[in-house]
Amino acid sequence: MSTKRTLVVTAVLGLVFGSVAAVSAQRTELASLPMAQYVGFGHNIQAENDIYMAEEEAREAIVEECMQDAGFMYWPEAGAGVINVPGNTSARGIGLAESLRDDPAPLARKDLSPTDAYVEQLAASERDVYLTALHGEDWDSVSQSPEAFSGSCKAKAFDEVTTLAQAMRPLRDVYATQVEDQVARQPGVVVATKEWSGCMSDAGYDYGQPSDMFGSLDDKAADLIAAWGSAIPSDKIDALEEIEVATIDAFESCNIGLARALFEARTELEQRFIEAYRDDLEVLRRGMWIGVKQP
Amino acid sequence: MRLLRVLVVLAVFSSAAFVALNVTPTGAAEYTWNTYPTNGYKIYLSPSSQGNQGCNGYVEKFGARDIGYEAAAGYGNDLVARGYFVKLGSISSSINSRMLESETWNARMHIAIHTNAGSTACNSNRVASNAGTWTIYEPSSSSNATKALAEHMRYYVAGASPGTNDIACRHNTSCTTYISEMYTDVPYVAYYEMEFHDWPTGVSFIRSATWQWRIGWAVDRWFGYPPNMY
Repeated sequence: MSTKRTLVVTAVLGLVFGSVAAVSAQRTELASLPMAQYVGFGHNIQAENDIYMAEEEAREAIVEECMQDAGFMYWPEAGAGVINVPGNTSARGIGLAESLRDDPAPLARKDLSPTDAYVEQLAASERDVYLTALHGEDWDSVSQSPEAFSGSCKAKAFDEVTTLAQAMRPLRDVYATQVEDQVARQPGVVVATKEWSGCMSDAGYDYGQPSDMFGSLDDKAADLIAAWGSAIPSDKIDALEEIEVATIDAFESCNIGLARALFEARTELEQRFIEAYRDDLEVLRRGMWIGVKQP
Repeated sequence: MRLLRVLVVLAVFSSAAFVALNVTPTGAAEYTWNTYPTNGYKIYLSPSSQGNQGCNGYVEKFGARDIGYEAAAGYGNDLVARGYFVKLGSISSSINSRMLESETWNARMHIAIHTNAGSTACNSNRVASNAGTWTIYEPSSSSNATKALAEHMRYYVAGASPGTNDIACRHNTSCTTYISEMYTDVPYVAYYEMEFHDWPTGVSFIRSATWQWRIGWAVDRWFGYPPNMY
């Protein structure tokens, strides 16, 4: 990718996300972990997804131009496939039993994208020519090689747009190893987990750690579905919900110390990570990607 | 042209309203589970683009896409309800396109979704004992499709499928050809063959909507039920 195109996309992101930053700020006031000043690590996930969408817009424009140059129609569609579900859905407990009350009929399927619909109505030979231009030789093979893919319009687009994922890639696994994998092992978290387990035991629930508790609830839901399929009697669901809500109530009262310990441990590990990789992190500083003002 | 592209991107995004992929239970007397909106984990679902036909008019790519929809936001406690961001790939794309989409989206886990039996339409010899759910792993260090993950993903989903020959299968052996997707450069890569589509019982199972939530169950178990903290 040319430096110019990198800069163009970055500038666009800066302008676009000037307005997004205000929205994201509402979400990040609680997420005051040290790494929240950087993007790419999941602390600003909505904003990070917005950055991805802008990247995909740029890629889709390149694909459209490429396909048109090759004599084909193409309908750009950034964000295709991202499942959007409105938030603020109320539920009791963690919503597990409630989810079993839903109509088990398959979801209303999103219509095929204009490009997918166009492809579907092509004759097999035409479809092969079209998808070869779009996705490369062997487009329908699970063994498609990078060489077969190269030269396609999609490959051109991926080559030409630098991404946030690429920018954070050198630190992705280091962060996972030095921060995420270490949180549960920190002495304060180990102690707090034991205290959590004792508190839950006092309330009548025998779990070593929260994941055991959530897993146990999932097990109960799985048992119901295995026994009744999609026609679970409402009294069975009510019974599960009673267990679920009582368990989560106990969890809530026992989890305060553990939540604090997790946050403190993560804060400390992230501060250490920032100290160690400050220079490398500079390219991921939130302000470089979000809320940059136009000159 | 470049300036035009910039303006087009800008125009689209000025009006775009992004809806967060999360569910935030906030019942009055109930526990507010999601103190923060999401757990920060992204799951890329990669449906097969193969047009293999099975029993009763089944076509693999459409079946795989529907499995993806259900796993993401369908019946039961799906991935979205659990706090994950989910992206479902296109059924008119190639392996390399979906791999790069997953990587550039910065997915935490990439899950390929297929159904088994290739282009065999309907096989009278298929019975429960030679059907089932398969997962694929690649043991080399250049792949993040580990055996441990394949065993794990198989365990939580296979219990629902009617076939009993549920296995975690080594990549590029007698049970599967070479699959480029095993080398997707994200931290965790899983590959499902969700039952066989060449027997009616298998197709009925694949088309039913009550088991796909197990994918979210498997993912949550693998990551240890990460809290929704972002």
